[in-house]
Amino acid sequence: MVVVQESEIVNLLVAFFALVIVEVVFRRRRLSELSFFYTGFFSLVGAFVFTVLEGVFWGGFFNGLEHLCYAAAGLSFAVGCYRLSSRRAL
Amino acid sequence: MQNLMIVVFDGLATLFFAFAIYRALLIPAGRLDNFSRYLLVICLAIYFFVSGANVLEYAGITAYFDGLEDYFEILFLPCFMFFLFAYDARLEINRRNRTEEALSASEKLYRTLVDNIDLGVTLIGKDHRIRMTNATQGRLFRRDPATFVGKLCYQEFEGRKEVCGHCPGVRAMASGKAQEEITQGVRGDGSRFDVRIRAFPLLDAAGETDGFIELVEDVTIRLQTEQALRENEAKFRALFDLAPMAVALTDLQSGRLIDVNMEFCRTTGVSCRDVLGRSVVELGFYSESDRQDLLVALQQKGEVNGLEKTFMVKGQPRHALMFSRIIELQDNRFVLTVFNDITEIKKMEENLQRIARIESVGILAGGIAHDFNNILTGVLGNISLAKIYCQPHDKVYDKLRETEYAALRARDLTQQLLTFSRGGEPVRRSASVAALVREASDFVLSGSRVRAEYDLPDDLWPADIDSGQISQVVQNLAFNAVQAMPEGGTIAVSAENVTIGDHEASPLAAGRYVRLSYADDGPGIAAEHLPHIFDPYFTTKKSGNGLGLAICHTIIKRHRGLLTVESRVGGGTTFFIHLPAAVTAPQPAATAADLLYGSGRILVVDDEEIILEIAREALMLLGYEVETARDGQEALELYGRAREAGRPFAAVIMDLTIPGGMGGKEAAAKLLEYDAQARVLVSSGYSNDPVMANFADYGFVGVVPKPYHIEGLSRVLRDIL
Repeated sequence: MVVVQESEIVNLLVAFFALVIVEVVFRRRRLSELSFFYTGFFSLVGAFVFTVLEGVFWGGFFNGLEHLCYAAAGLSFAVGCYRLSSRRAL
Repeated sequence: MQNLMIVVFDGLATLFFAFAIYRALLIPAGRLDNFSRYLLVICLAIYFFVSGANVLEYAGITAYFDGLEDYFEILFLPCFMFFLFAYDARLEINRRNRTEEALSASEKLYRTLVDNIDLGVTLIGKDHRIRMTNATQGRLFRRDPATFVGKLCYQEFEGRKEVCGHCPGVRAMASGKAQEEITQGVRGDGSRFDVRIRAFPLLDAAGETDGFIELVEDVTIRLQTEQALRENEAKFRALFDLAPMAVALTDLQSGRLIDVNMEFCRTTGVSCRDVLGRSVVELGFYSESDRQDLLVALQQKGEVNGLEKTFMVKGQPRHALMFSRIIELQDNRFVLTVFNDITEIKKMEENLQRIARIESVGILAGGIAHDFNNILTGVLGNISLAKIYCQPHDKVYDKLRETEYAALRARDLTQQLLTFSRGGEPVRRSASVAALVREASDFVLSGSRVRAEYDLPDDLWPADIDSGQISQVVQNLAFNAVQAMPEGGTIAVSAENVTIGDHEASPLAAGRYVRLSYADDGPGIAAEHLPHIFDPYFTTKKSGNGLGLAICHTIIKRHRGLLTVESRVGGGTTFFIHLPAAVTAPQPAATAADLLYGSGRILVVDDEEIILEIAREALMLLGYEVETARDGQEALELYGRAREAGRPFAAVIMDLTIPGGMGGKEAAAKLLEYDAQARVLVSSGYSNDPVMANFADYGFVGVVPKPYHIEGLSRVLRDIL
């Protein structure tokens, strides 16, 4: 039985849209210092994907992956913020 | 188990996000503006909340927020996008700020450079309107640089009404390359100054020519300096070239001539073009050892002053007085040498020494002649007296006459000695030139292979001459002719009367002259020698001293006459003598029968006892009463006493030269002061003394040259008494 919430679908669609924007617009620009933020963002997008997938099949496995992605995203953002806050002003 | 793993994952995520929020708040403001910061914090807070909610949910704790996290998650993405946009915008702003700051710094640097550079800098558009100029340009033109902007460059900088024909900017725009021009700028006060302008094309962003940049330099002082240097160069070059001393610049090591002046070439007799680059040794001026000697002296003292050195010119040694110094030019060492060819000076010195020797001989000869005249006076006087005392038909009379003739010849000889010794003024009397020439020539030619042919007209005018001196001239000419014709020949001697008019081109003054020509048919004189034959010491004869013709020339000149020569090699030589004609007839030689008797008291002054005795006896024989004095002082005393006693002297015969006592000139002057009517005759063995020639200038009324004889004495006394 497929159990997918609407919000998860919306989140996924918005995430894909955001992903395109990030890939097309920002990563081609000089925002390399936000690379850990991008990693965190990709991890969260992965979490959105796994959230949807866990409702379709292998619910336990994808649910674990989803929360692992949360942890990875948290780590990435933490490192990103740490590095950004440790540098001098531009 | 799975729930525990999820709790751990979300727990870690919660901690990480919490840490991230903490660090996000510490991100410097210059790196992250507040808006971006808040967006980031919101993003992180969403997942802090989601992770925390999940931990509670999977830990079995009451999930108060169950389901809410899904909505929060929806907020994350737009917030994160906004964050990225805001951050990107912030970065762009920062970039722009940095660019503007860099531009501002560059502008400041550029302005500092342009304003402080020592050149006037001006940006000028294609339309020649000034866009910008710097402070230096203002200083150069003595104006506020701001007043130039927007105006036409040719009006502001050169005071013109149209574009300058020489404008380097126009050329720079046309060629695309830098151009240069030196012209004159006009200052604000109207004064002009020299400027050097370098113009570069000014390109716009598209690479098209948009105008030009001018760099202006005040070169007034530089041009003046260059002009002064050029003038100095020209001045010193002229001095170098026209210096009367030879100047040479040679390389110290090689001895090669780097530069020489015209006098150097003239002195050494070589072409200036041929000597440059060649060494003095190669040219044969010095030997290498001579050059080395000079270099050693230069190295030791730095300079050489007044060194006399012999150098060779065309194989002939020349003497030089040399001044040398080592100089450095462009790191190379050279020898600057100035020298003077003193060969002629040394010859002149030798001549002067010879003249000094001759003068000393002349003084000796003059003294001998003077003494000899005194002796001859005694001889001739006694002969005259003896002739008077005997009868003309006596045999002794003839012997006396011959003795007298011989004594007169001796007198002539002393006359020549005096002429040689002093070259004094001739004592001119009216005399027959024909008789004198014939007698003097025959005297020389007798015994030689040369014969004289005379053409001496009877109506030849007498001339005012010193017979002794003119005889010497004729004898010299005859002697030269004999030497010129060792194998024999003929001398054509002729004379004629000539008159020089006022407007005739002649070195002679207008008047009447006796022109005597003396022509031999010898080998003649080379043309190059003719201008020099009257120069002292010029001779072509091995045994000659070069004085004969020089003395002749001097004698004739002192007679106010002229001695000239015409000669042609192989065509013989002719000398012409012009002598001033006399206005009076020649005085005939006196004889015993011509004795002129008189009366009166005569005072004879002489230091020679024999002369006093002869004079006393002769004058007493002539009827005069005689007193004698040994010098001028005694004569003055006797003259004074006689006058006071009422027995004054009718005449005084005063010897000109009295050793150790008052001479005739001084005594005559004092005597005339005492008695202006005194009649004083001058007598001297120096018959060609200037006083004798110009006796009237010294107050004398007549001359009695020694040796005098009784006939002449009687005539002179008759003339003045």
